[in-house]
Amino acid sequence: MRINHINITRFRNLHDFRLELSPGVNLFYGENGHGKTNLLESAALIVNGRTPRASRIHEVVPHDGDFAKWEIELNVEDVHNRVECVIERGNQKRLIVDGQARKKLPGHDKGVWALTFFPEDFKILTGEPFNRRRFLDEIILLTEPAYMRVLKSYKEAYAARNAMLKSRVTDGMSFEPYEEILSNLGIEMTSRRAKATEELQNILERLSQDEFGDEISIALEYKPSLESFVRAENPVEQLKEAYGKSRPRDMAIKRTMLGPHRDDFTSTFSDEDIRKFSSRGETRLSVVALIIAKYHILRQRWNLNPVILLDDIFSELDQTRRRKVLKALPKDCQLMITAVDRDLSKKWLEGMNDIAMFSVLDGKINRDE
Amino acid sequence: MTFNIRPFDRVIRELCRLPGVGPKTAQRLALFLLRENQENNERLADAIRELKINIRFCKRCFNLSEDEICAVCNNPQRDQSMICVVEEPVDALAIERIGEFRGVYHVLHGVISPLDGSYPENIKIKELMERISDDGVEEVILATGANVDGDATALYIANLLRGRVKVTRIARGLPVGSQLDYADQGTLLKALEGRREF
Repeated sequence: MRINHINITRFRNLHDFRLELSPGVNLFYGENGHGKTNLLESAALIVNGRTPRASRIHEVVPHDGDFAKWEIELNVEDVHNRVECVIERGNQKRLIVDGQARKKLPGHDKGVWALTFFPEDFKILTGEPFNRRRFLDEIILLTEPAYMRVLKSYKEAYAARNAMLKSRVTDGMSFEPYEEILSNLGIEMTSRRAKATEELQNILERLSQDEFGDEISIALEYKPSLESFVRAENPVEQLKEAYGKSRPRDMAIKRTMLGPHRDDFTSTFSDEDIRKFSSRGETRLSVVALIIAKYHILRQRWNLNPVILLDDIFSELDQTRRRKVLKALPKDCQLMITAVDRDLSKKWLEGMNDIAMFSVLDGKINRDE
Repeated sequence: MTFNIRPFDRVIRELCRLPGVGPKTAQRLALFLLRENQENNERLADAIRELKINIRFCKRCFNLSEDEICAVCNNPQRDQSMICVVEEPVDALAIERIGEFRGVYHVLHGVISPLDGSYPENIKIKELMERISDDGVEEVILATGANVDGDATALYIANLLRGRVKVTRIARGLPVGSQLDYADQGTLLKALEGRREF
């Protein structure tokens, strides 16, 4: 898919302009704080329904206004859809597709999908473990949407057992049903996350071989909370038993300690733990590599070309690594990239097809002649 | 919002207590009742008045009943050895509407749901156990909802009954007459898992 044009009435600091995008590379340049990132966010919010940036959707309403309103024209295999989004202060987000109100867009299994990199994505590697769990779950959901049911049920059963731990109930009979549900779902989540990590790992290795070169090797290792169970003969039964045994301890702290809600994965850059030893540039490169890996997983599963939105990927990278990242970017996708310097960026992008440059100044964006 | 006409406002306030009825709907209903002839309204009032007096819960299955034992439990044509366990009377009604089930019911009046403060002793599980020791029951069909609480309740009962009677759980899957591409993924997955040889 690609975006034919973007029409902004009001979105954060952006206002009143219309852009024709190139099907190839679109570079948005300008000083900090003028609205480059906001433009990428506006596209991501419509296509994906959310971004890692705005935790609350109403943040995109301008400070001096009552609403945000913007429109993009999607092109999915030559079918064009005009999608308008309106967010009024105090109201729900409204999506209007070709004049008709819709709850959401068809989604990635129908080809509507944007792959994004925002600086917030650093958290995947440097933040708290829940960022990594969410990243893995997202990867699984991209290929198996029905996994949502597993996540939801696990969360419910986990909350139910915790509620019971806090109550006066102590008999095993009452705990067992929830522990059985948690065991089934926990083993399922663990094996799916293990598979997703393995898949990511394979792609990262291939990226190192084909694009990045040997000196850049990024490795992930899944650290499941249920590690000792997944290799057991009958993991669900063993886990159920372990839940039973852990009840006195869990009752004391009033929380379920065992299960995939405590998973994590470690990441290394050239065999060094990224969280402890890697530079900003190395971390950035690793996160970008994860995003590119995500693209390949999607490509394999649904055979589609997402729009790729990359916010400020080049800063903190030296010239060699910048070139490697550019080389590793998918060639058959529409790109929207932000950068500070026009001439430098233009030089970096040399050799890429259909490049359009846009200047971003004070909430207005213009395509260069 | 009131008209300050006391009998009218009183009806609105009372109607507002009903589930799913807000002030707007209550107003519309009150206006409707005002235009109805008195005879019909008396019948409605009588019906409401007699509801709590004449209806109670069946002593055996806890479904709604006019007598001590409900019509289903009292029916000699019904198979007393097969008990279908449901959450609420409406669930029994839904199964009864099919007209195919020949067994009897047991209404739990709720599910186990620790988050809502509902535990096994809060629903009619003990009563189900008593029935099973008395009645010569052969099969218990667990027809609680297809969600975590419904599953947990079914598992709890199944654990209690293990080795005593045959315990079955209703299947889950596609609604009859539906098209595959309209089913949500969770349902589709369950339907695939629960497939049977043709």
